[in-house]
Amino acid sequence: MKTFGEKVRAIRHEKGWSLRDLAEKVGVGFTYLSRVENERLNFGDYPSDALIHRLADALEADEDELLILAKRVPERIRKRVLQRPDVFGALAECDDKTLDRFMTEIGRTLKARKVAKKQ
Amino acid sequence: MNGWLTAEQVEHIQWAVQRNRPVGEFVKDLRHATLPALMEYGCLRASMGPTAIPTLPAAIIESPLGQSLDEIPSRIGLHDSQNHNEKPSRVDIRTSEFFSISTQDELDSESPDLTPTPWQLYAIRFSRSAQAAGFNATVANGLVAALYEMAHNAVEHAESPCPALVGFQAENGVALFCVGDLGRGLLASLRTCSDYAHLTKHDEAIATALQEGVTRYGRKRDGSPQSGVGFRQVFRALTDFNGHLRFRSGDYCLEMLGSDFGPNLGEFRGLPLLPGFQVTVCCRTRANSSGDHPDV
Amino acid sequence: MIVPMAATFGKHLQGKLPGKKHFAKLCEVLSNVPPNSIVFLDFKDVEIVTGSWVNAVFAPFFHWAGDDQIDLFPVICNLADKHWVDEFALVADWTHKCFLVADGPIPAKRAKAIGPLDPGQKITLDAVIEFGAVTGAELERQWKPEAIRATAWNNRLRDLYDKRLIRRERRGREQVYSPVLKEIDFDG
Repeated sequence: MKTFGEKVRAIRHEKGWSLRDLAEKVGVGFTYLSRVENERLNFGDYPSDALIHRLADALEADEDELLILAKRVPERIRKRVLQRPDVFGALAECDDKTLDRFMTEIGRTLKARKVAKKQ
Repeated sequence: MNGWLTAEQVEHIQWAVQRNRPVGEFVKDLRHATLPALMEYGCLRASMGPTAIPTLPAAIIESPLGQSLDEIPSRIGLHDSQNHNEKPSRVDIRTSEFFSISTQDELDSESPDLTPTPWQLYAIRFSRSAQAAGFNATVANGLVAALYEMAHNAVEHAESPCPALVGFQAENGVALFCVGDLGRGLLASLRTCSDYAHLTKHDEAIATALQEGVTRYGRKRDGSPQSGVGFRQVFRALTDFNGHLRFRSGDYCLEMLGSDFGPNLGEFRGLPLLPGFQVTVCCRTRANSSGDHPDV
Repeated sequence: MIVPMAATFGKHLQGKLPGKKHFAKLCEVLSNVPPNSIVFLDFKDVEIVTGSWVNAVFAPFFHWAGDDQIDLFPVICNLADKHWVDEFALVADWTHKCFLVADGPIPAKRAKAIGPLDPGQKITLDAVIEFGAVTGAELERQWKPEAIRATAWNNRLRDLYDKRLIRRERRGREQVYSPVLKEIDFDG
């Protein structure tokens, strides 16, 4: 699995952007961005939530994915956990196989809902 | 102001650390910093060490001011690893910019083909930025001249173990600059001259240094001053403006606020000891005499 | 002779070390100017002038200009900022010199003397301006307001000549003094 920095770099390369290009879009210096991608920031490995949000916007990437790679819990997930601690507590006890079965079921349910909405 | 790191807050942090009080949570919650605060914090961290003084939070480092400082490797800045950044060769307007300076040559040299040197370009950017912030060319150039004098003092007198750091900020009716070093401070510098060997306290040294004609080189044989007009340029730059001057050396700080600036004005405040000398010159147009956030 | 300061030294005239270099260059630029000439130092287009630069250039420059072999009379022209005039005044105080400062087209016809002049020197300068060209002996004969001996006049004339405010030409056994510019103002 890619690290946060590797993910940012990979998406940046896909878009054909240099460090300077992306740095300008998100409002930081390119040397700082280089340290972000190499996870060599002086205050820790990952930048602020605000910068992660701007990176996700600029790179058209999944913000939740970037946040989780940066070992942060996305706000909407955090809120839901607090709303339904019973559910998330139970999920935390499940093994990966059980969680995969849940994901398949959730996927089917969401798809069915979308179809129903269209109709 | 909530979430702001000011120069005075840095003093409180230093007091707290010296009394073994934790400062980590306070620092973590900071969201903004003034330029003088960044400079002071850098001096504090360089002097007391990264274990005692935490790194600043991402919110500050990723701000436009923080990113300006991040461009410059400096022991007083956010990091001192070489960036392999080229110094900018354009003179576009900026809201803030820093410059690391070690030698008089960097300030005074001229290129053989007369192209502007990095320092000259930096000075031009400051002047243009101050004009864009609302000051006329004469005032802007006066600030540039004052900045030059303070930077010159740092490289000529400080004997700092690392390059001095210079920073300017200019927007919305405010133009300010800071110069900071980790050298010997005013007291030790003046005491190298027999004329000032009697000085023993840092506040006396600051008060003496601000007088016209005072320099560690003493006087010429005919009694006339060798030099020592740098601070005059600073006072001159703030004539007719609302401003804030701050000089810090040793365990004292002298501040002048308002519209009267001169060698025998201002108020002293005792502080924990910090090596070097830090000067802040902040000039505000009348229209912006009380801004919505601190500048110093 | 006119020296365009911005074109010769740059628009930012600041600092002791650059001042020292500029002093040397100024001497070089003026090295072929005949003695007894007026030199107009034109500060048009200059953007910054600091006291440390003025001190580094003009303290030694006026000393050099006063050498018998050099004998030049500088006039400082078109200082854009009144604060720069203050810097010259400060250096004049320190060095007991006097600078002539003028505004407007060059060659200037009128200037202000910036720097300390004692009452006797002021009277003497007034008298030289009034008479146009004069010797000490003529002043003793013709200056009505007070009776002053020629020796005293000659001493004061010599002082003003050293301060580069009046020129001097030998006429037979006498020295004839004339003002550098037709009109010179001074305080007091």
